[in-house]
Amino acid sequence: MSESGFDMPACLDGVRKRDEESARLLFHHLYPLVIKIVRSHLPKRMAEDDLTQTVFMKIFANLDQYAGQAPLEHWVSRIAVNTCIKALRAEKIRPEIRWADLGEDEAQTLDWLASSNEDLHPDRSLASRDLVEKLLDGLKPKDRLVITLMNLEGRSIEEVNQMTGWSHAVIKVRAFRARAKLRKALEKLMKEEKP
Amino acid sequence: MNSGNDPLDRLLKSAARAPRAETGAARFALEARVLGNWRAMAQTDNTDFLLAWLRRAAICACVLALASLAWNYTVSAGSRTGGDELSVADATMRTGVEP
Repeated sequence: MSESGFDMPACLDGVRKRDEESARLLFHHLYPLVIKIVRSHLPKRMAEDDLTQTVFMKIFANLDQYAGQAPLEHWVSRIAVNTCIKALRAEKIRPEIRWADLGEDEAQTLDWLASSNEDLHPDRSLASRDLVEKLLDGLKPKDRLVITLMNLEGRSIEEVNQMTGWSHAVIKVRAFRARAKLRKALEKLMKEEKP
Repeated sequence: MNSGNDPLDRLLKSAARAPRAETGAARFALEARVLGNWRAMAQTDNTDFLLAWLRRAAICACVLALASLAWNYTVSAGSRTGGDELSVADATMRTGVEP
């Protein structure tokens, strides 16, 4: 039994035996982990609840395949990440961001980046996040994922490996290329004429 | 503080500091949707099991029917042969007995 009083093996056993209370407990136990991943990698045109539901259905449908060798959270993370990548891939349009698409705060943030070498003020973090989100929309799902996990969430290569199943070398190469693409998009935006 | 001249590094660093939305507890509507689908999935699993069982039963019935037909054919063919032999024997006896 875990510190929180949640008995994982018993709960999994209950779900496999079609016990609804166990399914409810497992849902609530995994929800914070799943919703965090879904929110970080949610396609623009998809509702958060829809994607969350899809992830949980995959978890429940494949629970018999979980051997228990790795922590359940790792297994669940991998399912959630792969489901999000699939959803992002289905969203075929990768819009190229322009000045006109930026909000006032985002435009000011970009101005500051172009005109100063200083770090951005902490007050600008939300605008920065929005701007990064818009830039990430133009990347392929796997590039977007690696930037989000490593640069925005501060995860290590080992953690990304556990969540995605990609090898360390693949993660490093993908992160490098994704950053290069993101830098190119940012530089293009900074050089663009303001409307 | 200066983290180098790379605007991307500064932007990502600033974005990483943005507060995240609280995960909170799952809304009841979502819980109901997920558990409703889970129940439906469990039911589908039962139906699948029943269908698989019925399929096996149908295959067994077909095998039995074929075996029964084959056996019936063998028996009827055997009885026909036996019938001919009897009639030949009968005719021979009759020829021998009757004047």
